[in-house]
Amino acid sequence: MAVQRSVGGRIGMSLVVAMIVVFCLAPVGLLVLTSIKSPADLSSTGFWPRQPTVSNFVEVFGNSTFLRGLLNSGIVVSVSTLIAIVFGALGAYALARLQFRGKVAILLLSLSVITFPGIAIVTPLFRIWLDVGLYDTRIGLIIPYVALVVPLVLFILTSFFREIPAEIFEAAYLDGASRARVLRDMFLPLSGPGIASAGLLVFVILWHEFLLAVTLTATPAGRTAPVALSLFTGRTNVLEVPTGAIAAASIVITVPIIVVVLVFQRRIVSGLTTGSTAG
Amino acid sequence: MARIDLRGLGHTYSNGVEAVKNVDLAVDDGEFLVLVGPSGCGKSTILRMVAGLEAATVGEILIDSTLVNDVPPQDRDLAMVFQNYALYPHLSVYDNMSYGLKVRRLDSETIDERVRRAAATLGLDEVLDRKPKTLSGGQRQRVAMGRAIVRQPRAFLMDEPLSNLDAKLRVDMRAEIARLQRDLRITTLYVTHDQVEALTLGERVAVLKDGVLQQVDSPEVLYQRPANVFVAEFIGSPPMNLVNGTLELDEDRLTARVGGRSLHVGSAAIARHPRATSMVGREVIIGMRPEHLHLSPAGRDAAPSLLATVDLDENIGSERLLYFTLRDEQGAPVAASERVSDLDEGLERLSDSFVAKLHGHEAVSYGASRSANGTVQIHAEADQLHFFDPETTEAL
Repeated sequence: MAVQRSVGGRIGMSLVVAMIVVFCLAPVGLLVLTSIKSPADLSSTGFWPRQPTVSNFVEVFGNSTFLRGLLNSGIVVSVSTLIAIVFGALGAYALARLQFRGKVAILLLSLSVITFPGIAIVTPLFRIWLDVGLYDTRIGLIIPYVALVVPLVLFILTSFFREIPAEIFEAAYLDGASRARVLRDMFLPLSGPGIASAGLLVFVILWHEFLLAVTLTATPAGRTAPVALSLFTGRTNVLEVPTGAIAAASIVITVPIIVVVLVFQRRIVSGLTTGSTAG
Repeated sequence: MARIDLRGLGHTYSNGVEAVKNVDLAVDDGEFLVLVGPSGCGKSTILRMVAGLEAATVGEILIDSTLVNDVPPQDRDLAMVFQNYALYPHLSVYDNMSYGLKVRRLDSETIDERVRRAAATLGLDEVLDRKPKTLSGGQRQRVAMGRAIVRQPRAFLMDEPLSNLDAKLRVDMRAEIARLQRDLRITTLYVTHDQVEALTLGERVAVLKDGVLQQVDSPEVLYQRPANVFVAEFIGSPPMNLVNGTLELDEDRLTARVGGRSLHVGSAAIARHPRATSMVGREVIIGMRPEHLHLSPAGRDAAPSLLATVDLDENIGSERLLYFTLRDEQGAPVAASERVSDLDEGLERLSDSFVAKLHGHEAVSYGASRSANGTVQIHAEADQLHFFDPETTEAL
C-alpha cells in the first residue's frame, strides 16, 4: 500500500495537500478574523484587526432572537435526527435482513425522495401548515425534516447492515441466543458505527437547512438559528449590515456541528467487523 | 451426544432450485460423518437444515429420535463452525468462547473452567484478551473451534472449517480436528469439497452430487468399491482414469478390450463387480486408478498392456505422475470417457489425457521404459479394474 515516492514527488504531494487545506480553511479563517474586528477595523482595509475585540460575540449572545434560534435549532435538529435514525434503522434492518416482496421498489421509492427538489414542496406545505396550525412551530419543522432525511438514513444503513456477515447472527442463534439477545448483544454493537455516521450526516444536513426553515416560520418562536442569522440587522439602522456580528454568529452556529462531529467520530471506528471472518 | 437422522430430506430454494433431494442419512452417536461433494451439491444446505438455519422443504430431521423440524436453532443444542468462522468481532477471544455458555446461564466458575481448558487444548491461552481482528487466520479458526468445544453440544456441525487456511495449516488443523473429535466423541457432521479431507477425517463419508446422495460408506469402501462413475472420479487423487471398452471372454478368462488391446481382469475385480460377467460382448466403462497403472518393460509384448504416448511427466520426488494419451494399434488416440463431474483438481487442462502414478523404483526407472518412437506400454493391476454401466453409470 505504501508506495515509496521520490523526494521531489513527496514535496510536490505536500504542496498540493497544503493548497487544498488553505483553500478549504481560508473562508473560516477570514470569518474568525472578521468576528474579532471592531467597527473601526471593519471599515478599514487592513487585513489583521488592530484592536481585536469580543464585542461582536457579546452582541450575539445579547440577541435574544438568535439565542432562541439556537435553542429551536437544537431541539428541532436533535429530535428530527433521533426519529429519523430510529425509523430509518428499523426500516434498513428489514430491507437488509428480511425476505419480503417489493424490497427493491421500497428502497428506490424512498431514494427518489432524496432527489426530489425541496422548493417544489415548500409552497403547498406552507399552505397546509397554515391550515392545520403547524405553521411557525417546532413540530412543523420536525415533520418535513424527518421525511427529508429518513430515506438517506435508510440508504446508508441498509448498505451498512448488509455488510455485517449474517453468519455472526447465525452463530449467536446456535449459541442459544434468542432474537432479542442477538439484537442486543450482536446487532446493536455491530451497527453502532453505521448509526453514528448516519446520525452525524443527518444532523449536519438539518443543522444548516434554510429553505424550509425560512418558509415555515415567521417569528422567533419557530425560527431556527440559520434563519435568525439571516435576519441580523444593525442596531440603529436596519439597512446597516452588522458584518462583525454576523461573522460571530456564524462561528457560534458552527461550534455545535464541530462538537457533534468530535463526539460521534469516536464511535465511527471503521471496519469494526474486521476479524470476524476469515478473509 | 446425539444421533442425527435425516429422512427424505429435501430443500427447494425460493427461486425454484432444488438443492437437496430426498436425502436419507443417519449419523450415529459419536460418529464423525463427512458430507463431500463439488460446490453447489447441496451439502452446506443439508448442514444448515440440521442447524435450523434453513427450513426443510420436505422430510424429517430427528435428533435423538425427536423431530426437530420446527425447533429453532437456539434450542437444538448444536454447535457450528462456519467456513468464515463468524467470530463476534466486538468481543474478546474469551467472550467469544464463553458467549454460548453465558446465554445458557452457566455459573461463571464452570464457564471459566471450560473456556480455559479449551483455550489450553487449542493453544489460545495467550490471546484470550485479544479481539479477533488481531489474530492470524489459524488462530481465528481455533477460536471458532473453541467456541464449539466449550459448549459441549449434542453435535458439532462443521461447514468447510479449513478451506480458508493455507495448505500447511490445513493439514495441521485436520489432524487436530481428528484428534479432538476422537477425544471428545461428540457426534460430528462435517462438510467439505475436499475429498482428501473427507477420507482422512470421516469414519464414514457421504458423497453428494446435485443434491442427491450417491454413496455413504467408509473411506476404504468408497475408494475400493465406488458405487458409480461419479464417486469413482470424485474419490481419489488424481482421479480414476475412465475409458470405454468391451468385456470379452478369452478362453474362459474375462478380458477388457481397450483400443484394440486387452487387459486381464482379476478375480478380485470380478468379485467386486458381479454383474460384469453378464456384460460380456457389451460396451462398459472401464476404470483404472492412476496408482494401479504400471509401466511394462520396453520391447516386450508379453503381458497384456496398453499403448500410450506421454504428454507430461511430473516428478514429485517420491512419485511420478505421467499424463499420457492412450493409443490404439494404429497410433490413433483413444478418448477418455466423458467425465460426469467438473473436477477442480487442476487436472482439467489435461482432461482428455490419462494419468499414471508411479512409485519408488518405477518412478526412477521411467526413462528406461520408453521405446524409440516415444511410446510406452502400460498395464493395469488385474485385480484393481473397475467396471461401470455406460447407460446408468452405476458400478456393475
